[in-house]
Amino acid sequence: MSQIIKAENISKHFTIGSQRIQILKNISLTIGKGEFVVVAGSSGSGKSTLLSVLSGLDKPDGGRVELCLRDITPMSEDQLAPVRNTLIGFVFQSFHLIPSLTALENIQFPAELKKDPDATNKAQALLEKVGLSQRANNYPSQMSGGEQQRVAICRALINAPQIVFADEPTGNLDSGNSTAIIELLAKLHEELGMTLVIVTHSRSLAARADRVIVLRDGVIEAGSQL
Amino acid sequence: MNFRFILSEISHSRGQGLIFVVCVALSLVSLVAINSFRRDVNQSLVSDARNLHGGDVIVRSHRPLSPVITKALADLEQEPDTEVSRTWEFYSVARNGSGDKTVLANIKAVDSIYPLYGAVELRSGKNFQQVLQPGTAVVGSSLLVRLDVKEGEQVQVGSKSLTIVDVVEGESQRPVEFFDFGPRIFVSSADLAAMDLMKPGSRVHYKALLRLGEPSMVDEIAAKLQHYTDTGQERVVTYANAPSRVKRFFDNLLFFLSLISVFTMLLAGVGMQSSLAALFRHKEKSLAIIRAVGASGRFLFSHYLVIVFVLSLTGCFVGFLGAYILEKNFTLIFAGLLPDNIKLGLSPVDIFEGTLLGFAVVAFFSFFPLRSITSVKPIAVIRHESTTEQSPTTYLFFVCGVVLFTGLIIRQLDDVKIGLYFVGGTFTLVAMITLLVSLVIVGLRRISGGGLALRQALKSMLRPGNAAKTIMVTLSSALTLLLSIGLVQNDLRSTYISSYPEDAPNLFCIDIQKNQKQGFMELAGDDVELFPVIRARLLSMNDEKIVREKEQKKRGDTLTREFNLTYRAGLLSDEVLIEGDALFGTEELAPGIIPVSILDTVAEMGDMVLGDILSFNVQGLPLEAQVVSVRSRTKSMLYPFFYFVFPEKYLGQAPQTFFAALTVAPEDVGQMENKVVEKFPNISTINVAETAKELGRIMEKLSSVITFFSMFSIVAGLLILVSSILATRLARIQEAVFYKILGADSVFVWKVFILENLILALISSGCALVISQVASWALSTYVFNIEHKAYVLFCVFLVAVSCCIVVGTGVASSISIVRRKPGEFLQKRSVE
Repeated sequence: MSQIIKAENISKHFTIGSQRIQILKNISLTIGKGEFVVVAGSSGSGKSTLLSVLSGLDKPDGGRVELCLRDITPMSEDQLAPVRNTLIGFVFQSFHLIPSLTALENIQFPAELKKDPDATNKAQALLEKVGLSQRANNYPSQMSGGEQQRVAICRALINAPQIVFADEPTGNLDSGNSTAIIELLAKLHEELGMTLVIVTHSRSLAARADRVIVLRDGVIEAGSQL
Repeated sequence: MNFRFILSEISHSRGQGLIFVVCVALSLVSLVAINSFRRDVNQSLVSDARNLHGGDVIVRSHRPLSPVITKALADLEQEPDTEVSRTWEFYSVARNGSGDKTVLANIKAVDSIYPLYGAVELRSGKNFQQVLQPGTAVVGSSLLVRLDVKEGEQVQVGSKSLTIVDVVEGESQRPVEFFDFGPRIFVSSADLAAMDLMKPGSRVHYKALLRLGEPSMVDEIAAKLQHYTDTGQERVVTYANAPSRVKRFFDNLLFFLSLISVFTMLLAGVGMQSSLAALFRHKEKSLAIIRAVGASGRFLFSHYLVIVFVLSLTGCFVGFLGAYILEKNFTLIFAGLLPDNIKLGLSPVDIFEGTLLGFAVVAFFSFFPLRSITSVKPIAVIRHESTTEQSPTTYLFFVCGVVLFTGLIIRQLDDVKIGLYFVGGTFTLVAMITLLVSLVIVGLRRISGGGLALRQALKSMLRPGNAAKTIMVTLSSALTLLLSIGLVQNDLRSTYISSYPEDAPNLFCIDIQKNQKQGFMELAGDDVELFPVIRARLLSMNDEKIVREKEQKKRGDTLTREFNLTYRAGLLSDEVLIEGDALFGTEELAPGIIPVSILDTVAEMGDMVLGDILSFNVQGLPLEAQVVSVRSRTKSMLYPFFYFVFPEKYLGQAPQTFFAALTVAPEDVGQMENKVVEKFPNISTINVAETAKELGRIMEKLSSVITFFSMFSIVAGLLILVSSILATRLARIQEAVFYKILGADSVFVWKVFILENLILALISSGCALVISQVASWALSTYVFNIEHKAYVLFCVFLVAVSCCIVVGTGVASSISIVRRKPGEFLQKRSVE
């Protein structure tokens, strides 16, 4: 399996007030193409920060990150823009849908950025796939959490990215919706074959992953990269 | 009262709080400065009224004073300590010694005791009475330049050559020179006869100025002299009630600036309301938490009332500071317009009145946002619930507020009718703009095509809490004001100054005597147009006396002034009949009544209609006329027009002069002026091109003053824009971050933000353009009776400037938003 994500010695700290907190400490890892990886760990262990750094949302203080053999660490925000648009898909705990857009518009937005002439059809197809075609013209505020997350997943997938990063995608959902989202992500991974990196507390999700990386105090717990 | 809570709230509401403070300050700056300036102008003009008018009692006339009043004045001169000074003032052409240069000058012939009050300051510093002797002239400095002469050289006035002995530096009776079309020449009254300029019908202002030994007798003496005056010819006034052209000008200008300032105050009030509403919307969750832990609505209301009070007080202070700085700079803004002796500065009365006004404005515009916080429910911690129902007390307060506010505006404008018109007009304007903006927004919501950035910009603009409509209505209102003023000004300039037809008369000659008519025609050519001019006053209309006091309250032309009547058989080339069968009707009139045709302007001025009986005093002789037709001018330009036209057989023998309008090649105008004045020294010539230039200069100056004050209203609109961006800052950052996460670069994000502001500006200026075109058309057509043009380039320029300002403000307020990094924002949100 060829590697698609490579992190070398990445470190990251935050300063809160006068206190400096080291979140990530010289982490190195590789993730293969089409792999389904779960990042687990207790609160404050640095899971979400790791995901942000791996996906280029945040810059590490030290070390380097490669995505598809391209070093993204020195890239500016504008250089990262096309990488995020075509190579990566994001799913967040708080959904982060654009409130002023309908479900359909939210999904087709990244495709329109790419100037894909088939954006609307692809968005409709994805909505149908997740069983939300009847909600196409609803705004986020008119949908339940589970529905919003399904829309967010569709949005992440519209440009057929090679990697999908999901940060606690079931964190804001009830158990029924959580199960549905887990099933959906697993199903999409199987069908589309993209690399899936999920930060989660969910044991059931972890159980379906190819590999689980456990973080503790900013380092990968020994023997966790199973 | 929890003062720590109040301090903390003020400190955490810095953005909107600052906008609120600036809005309060903005509502006061121009209004307080204008009010204070009005007081200063009145102080400088009225406190020195004796110096301004030159006497305790003044007898004025456009004809030589009657023997009766002359005798009464002579008798008064015999009284101890009573002095009477006589002056003659008129325009005439002055020439240099060699006669090759001419200038229309304001001649003032005075006797040896002039001035009784005040002073004529001379460059030499000498005493005016000692300097001005028969055979000499004291002149304004511009005359030296225009005639290219020096002190000690000769100036030719009429048939008399005078030696220039000094230069005028200042005159207490002429505190502002801005409105005088010619430089001043003081001559001795002893030279009047030798100048040979005053002929029957000449436009001379005759004055007798009295200084009384007993000042308490002023009114009594004035009443006594009034008793001797010819009806409607001589006017007797005292220093206390004499009209002043300068004061009238300032009254009108300041009234207009007051209107603009009140308009700005209203827009700034909308800004206050908008910023407070945005602040409370932003704080809804915090307020709900406070309610959830047991605070009452009264607690929230009282504490935020104190916060609003503190911010208002700060705003008032900033406003006074701004007004003080503004007024101190009035010497720059009103350069050339201010009386010499004016002292500018804010008085305690200005500050007291300003504070009252400021708090009234704050109370009116803050009530509704403040009231809304009492209805915040603890459940808002979990979910937002909109409450739309209004209690009857809210409506009652609104009505009371509108009434109180209308009262304040009426007091400010000191005119009930115009105050009500203003309030009604403002409400109508805002309602029209709101309707127009709403229609455009409905249309925009339906747009589904266009580029992604454009669609996003539209969505962002119409996001909840963005106050897009308020911004558009406010900006539109301000721009409507600015555009309307600019368009009417362009119409006026185009009509009277720029587009004066090349083949139109460019040299006017006035005061041509009947016996000079033939000689003048030989000089000027047989095809010259000569208009007879008979000077008269209108005494009554349908037996109702024209009341001077009532007429003087009017802001425009008045019926009490002396009119120029004329006679002729038909209409002029630029006239049409709009009422009546023929110029002098076709029906037989009652015996002793003669027909008169009136111009629509005077018909409107005096509410005159066909059939009205007008009584004139034609230089002592009564004349009864019936209105039989109404005329209108098809073109408006510097061209002779007459309010009242009679058939020749009735006025042909009346004392009259002639007015001639000559069309001369521009390069020959000076030569023609010389020829006319050389042959007929009493005839005054007016170079129309120069007059138009002078009018243009005055108009430019006034327009820059008005535009300056109108700009304050634009600031109010921009403040609401900044307030709106602050209010939706979080949503904007979130959107910008989402765009970036989904693959948009910063160019795209900027494009969305710029387009959003550009659309906002385009809609605002578009609506303003539509309404200002309609408004300026109505004003030009119905008020000024001039042609209206669209001035596309001017409008495009103003719209472009407005767009740049709005986009610039929007972009400047958004820089920090666009620069936010996605990871940093998401991290912060997850911490929250």
